[in-house]
Amino acid sequence: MKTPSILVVDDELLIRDLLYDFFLGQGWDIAVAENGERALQILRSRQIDLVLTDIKMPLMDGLELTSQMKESYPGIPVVLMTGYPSVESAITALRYKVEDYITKPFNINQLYKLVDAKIREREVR
Amino acid sequence: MSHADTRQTGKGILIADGQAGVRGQLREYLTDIGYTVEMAADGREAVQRIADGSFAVALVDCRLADGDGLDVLEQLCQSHPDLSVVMLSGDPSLELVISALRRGAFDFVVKPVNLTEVDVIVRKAWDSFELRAAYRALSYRSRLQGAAHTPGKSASVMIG
Repeated sequence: MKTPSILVVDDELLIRDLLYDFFLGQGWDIAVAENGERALQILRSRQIDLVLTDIKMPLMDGLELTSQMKESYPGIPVVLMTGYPSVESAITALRYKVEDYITKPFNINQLYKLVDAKIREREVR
Repeated sequence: MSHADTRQTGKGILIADGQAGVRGQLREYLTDIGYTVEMAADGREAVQRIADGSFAVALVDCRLADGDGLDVLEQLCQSHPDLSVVMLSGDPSLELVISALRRGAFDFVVKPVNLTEVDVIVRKAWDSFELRAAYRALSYRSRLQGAAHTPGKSASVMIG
């Protein structure tokens, strides 16, 4: 299996740093962005296997990023994470066909298993 | 796609909801705009009708008389992967919607239903069904053609 590459999008520096250190420690290729606009710039410049994004962010939130990704990068799976979950945002996520919708705080080992499984599923397809 | 096209495909929409009023309202509306509609009062009947019939879209209530509509969703996604399954609920919790997302629902509609919203969602669900079915048929034909061009495999393709 080639080295997985993921893009973490979150306006909270603490979350970005935590996930960066963790996935780097697993030997993964990881990029980080603080909002959806920056995430799209990164997607234009490098190959990414999966995007893990927060929902509530300034400039461009995670749902808008997902919407734009479904147009421009339909093959890249998206996992949404949020500290402010709601029925409405979960229904929107369902409509965008995201891979999963997880709530913060999350267990990082469970998140790792989820993300790893989604990337492997995509490789099989 | 136009509604007239849906009549010509020979496929239909299944509505599985324990509330007769909801079933009736949806059936009347969807029939009026040109769809072929069948109804099921519970999960067992829904699964049976889907197995026996020819459907593009299923509207399934999350709470059915004989059990959990999400179990029906999961069963239908496994047995009929091209089918678009839209879940309905009058009192959706976050956990319910996330579970529907994880189990492969095409969409989620909160009751009381807005019929204009249902029209839009059913059109998208129908288009998605047709895309998946066309892609599957194309993949199957490609595999057959690929196998037919491989020496020693053409005989098995003709037989099998």
